Formats: sequence, C-alpha cells, structure tokens
Amino acid sequence: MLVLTRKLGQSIVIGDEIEVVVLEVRGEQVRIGIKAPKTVQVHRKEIYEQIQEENRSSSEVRPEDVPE
Amino acid sequence: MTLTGTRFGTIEYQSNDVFRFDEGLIGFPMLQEFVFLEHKPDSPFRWLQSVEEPALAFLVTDPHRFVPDYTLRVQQESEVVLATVAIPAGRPMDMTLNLAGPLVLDATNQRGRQVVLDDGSYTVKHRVFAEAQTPERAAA
Repeated sequence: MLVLTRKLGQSIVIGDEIEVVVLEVRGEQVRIGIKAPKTVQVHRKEIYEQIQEENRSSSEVRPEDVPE
Repeated sequence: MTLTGTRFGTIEYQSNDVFRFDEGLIGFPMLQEFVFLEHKPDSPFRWLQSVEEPALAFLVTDPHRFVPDYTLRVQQESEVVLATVAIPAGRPMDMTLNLAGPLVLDATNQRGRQVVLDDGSYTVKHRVFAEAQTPERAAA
C-alpha cells in the first residue's frame, strides 16, 4: 500500500479525475472530501462489504426455502 | 440461446432478454449480463441468473410488495427497483431484503445497476416476517 502523509487541507490526486482532500482532523476522526466523476462509485467500505455479503447470500438461497 | 449448467438446469433465452450491468453487482464486478427466471408462476420472487457464470443466480423481489413506502431518489421514470433476498437455509421466516443496495433496472435499454444507499435510511437486512416464534418443526 502506498502511504502518504498529508496536512489539513492538503490533497492527493488519483489519476486525472479523482482528488481526496483532508478536511478536518479531530481526535480519531478524519473528515475526507472526495472529488470524483459521477461514474466512480465512492462508498464507506463497511456498507460496500455488507452489500457484497447480501449479494452472496441471495445467490446461496435454496429454492425449496423460498416462500410461496 | 442456451445456458447450460445452471442451478435450474438448461435455460433457453433470447438476446433481448439480457440485462446488462456495466459495473456488475457489488462484489461480482465480472458479472455483467443477466436474465430473469421465474421462481414459480405468480411468485413474487425471481432469480437474476448470471449469463457469464451459470452456477450463479441471485434471488430478487419487488421490495414494494413487502415495504410499500420504500422510496429511492435516484430512480428514473422508466426504472424498476428490485431487492436481493437472503434466506438462511431451512429458515424461510428469517428472510431478509437488502434495502440499502437495491438493483435498478431500465427495461427501455435493458440496463441495470446496483445502487448503494449510504445515508442509513435503509438496512441491508430488512426482516420481512416478525421475529416472534421460531418454527416448531425444527424440534420435530
């Protein structure tokens, strides 16, 4: 993993179209701003992983368990 | 066209039955083409069968049937919303719908996408039936 140190207000650019800005640092919380094209989906990792898990679960349903 | 080796045997479909998801499903970016299979006649449930991976089919349903006031701001006029359905093996009463990651489909261009509702308004595990009683036949 690439590791960079940034100060408040500084950013990182990823490719030509994505910018990640450190907006606020307060104790253990960091507020991050992300500028990206609409076609790039940006989400918290937790929700992304939960949806992935639900997708997997829905592919493992046994037909005999589906209610009438 | 024919799809062999699915969980439901061999499937016949037409090319215009195929829905294309350019970004795949979340966690399954390589799956971009799907066809719908009926679960049973008149069932509210359908299977979203992968064309590329015949072994994979995702159980889906119209969430409004279970959650009438379910709303999605991103939805366009021509689009239809579906939710994936999870049912733990042997426990149909524990069925849940993923209302935070709905599938949005547009039949006018046969395109689909999975949307993430990140604002906490809906859960990925929305229970359909009350938690009350556990099935008694489990003890039988």
